[in-house]
Amino acid sequence: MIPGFIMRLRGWAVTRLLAVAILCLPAVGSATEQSLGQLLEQLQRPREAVARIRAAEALAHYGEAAVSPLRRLLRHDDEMVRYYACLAFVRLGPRAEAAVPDLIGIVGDPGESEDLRDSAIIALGQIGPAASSALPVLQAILHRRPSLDLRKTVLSALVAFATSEAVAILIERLERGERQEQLIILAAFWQQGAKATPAAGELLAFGARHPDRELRDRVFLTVATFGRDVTADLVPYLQADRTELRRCAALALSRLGPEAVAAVPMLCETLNDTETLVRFWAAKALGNMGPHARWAAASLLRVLDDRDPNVRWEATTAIARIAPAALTEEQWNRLLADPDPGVRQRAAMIRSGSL
Amino acid sequence: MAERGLRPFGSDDGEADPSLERLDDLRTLPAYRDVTRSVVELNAARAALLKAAAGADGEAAGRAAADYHRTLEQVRSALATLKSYVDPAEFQTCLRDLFMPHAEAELGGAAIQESCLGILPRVEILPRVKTLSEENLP
Repeated sequence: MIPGFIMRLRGWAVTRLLAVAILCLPAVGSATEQSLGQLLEQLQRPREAVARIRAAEALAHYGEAAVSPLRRLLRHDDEMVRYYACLAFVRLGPRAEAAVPDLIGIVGDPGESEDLRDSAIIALGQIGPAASSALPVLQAILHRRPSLDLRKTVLSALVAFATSEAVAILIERLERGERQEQLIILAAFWQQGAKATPAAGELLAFGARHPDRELRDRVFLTVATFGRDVTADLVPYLQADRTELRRCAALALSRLGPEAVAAVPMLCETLNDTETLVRFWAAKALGNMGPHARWAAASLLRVLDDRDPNVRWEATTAIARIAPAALTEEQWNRLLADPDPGVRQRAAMIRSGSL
Repeated sequence: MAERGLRPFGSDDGEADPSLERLDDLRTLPAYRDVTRSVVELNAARAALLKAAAGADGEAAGRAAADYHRTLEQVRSALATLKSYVDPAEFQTCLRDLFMPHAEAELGGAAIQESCLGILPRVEILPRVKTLSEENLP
């Protein structure tokens, strides 16, 4: 006979596995054919995990109309019912704003299981900035040094809030220097993408003062995933006193590609930087914009005479991507006779149309 | 002991890996070429060391070992430079391309970074000069 607690653990494991499907897959497009009442009833049916998850998924199609009955289910005697109600709120996202106090109640209740609190925190994160009243309770959890899984959920929710208070807590956590937690936070920002744009300035400032080059690169590259709106945050770093920051900014802009087109004038200036690596990454950033940076062609042509072969190589590549016709026959001949074999080879590849 | 050095790019292992196509561009980058050159030198130094170790001349083996360690440092230095010139997302692919062992199975599913870093010390597991002299004493 299998002891009850093992059955229960196994049940949680299966449920959590299935729940991942809800959290990871996009919402089903068509509306459910079942009534709200039927779905709520299905959600409470014991020992039917798949049906309950499907019901949680389908309830989201009812939008705000489902919120009120689901809130009542958050007070249900059966913990599993409360859990499935949380899953439904996960899918409802910002439409579940009215349920924030109930979800906070679950999160702050030490008598609730970690799994249930975890689900409630995920739901709060999915609701987004409107759930930021959960900040104190989430912060209290972090202070108690919970399990890594729970900490990860809390940090991801804070990232999803993206309010200045939430970002301040996250920066404070980043400053603590616990590597695993730093990576969790940056991965959560990465997942949020453009929605995390309000945090860009603070994140970059943290990266700029952090001594670890690898982490600094990671911070700048994470910010680059937020999209075009962070261009304005990155551009000032092209003029930073420290070479490392100028390099990081150009590296991040190179990831943005054509979205960083607003940075073209400053990147053109950066091509004259005293540091080789900064010039290299500025040329790379311009090249990654393709024809969108065509008015940078004249500046790049001047870099073909750079003293560093890597910079000449990158400038050649960039011009080929931006405006290959900008190269005169004389410039082609000079590139094909470059003292560095790599640059010569690159020019030959481009000339032959291999690029 | 089978001859098995680090593999510089360009050797033909059969089917082309689409994930490495982007490397065609990078392979001409001067910093990348420097790594390639140093890997070729390292392989040559390794072959010379193995040959010297098999012989009876302990002094020659000592010189070969010193030469090997010098070229190993060159590889490390060139790699550090290359890391600054490639996007961090591409660096792992570069490492795989530059240091793929002849037997792919050797990677054994380990994370590529660890594998690549592991290759260098593995190559370094060689008879020390003192041991060589002792072994080769008549």
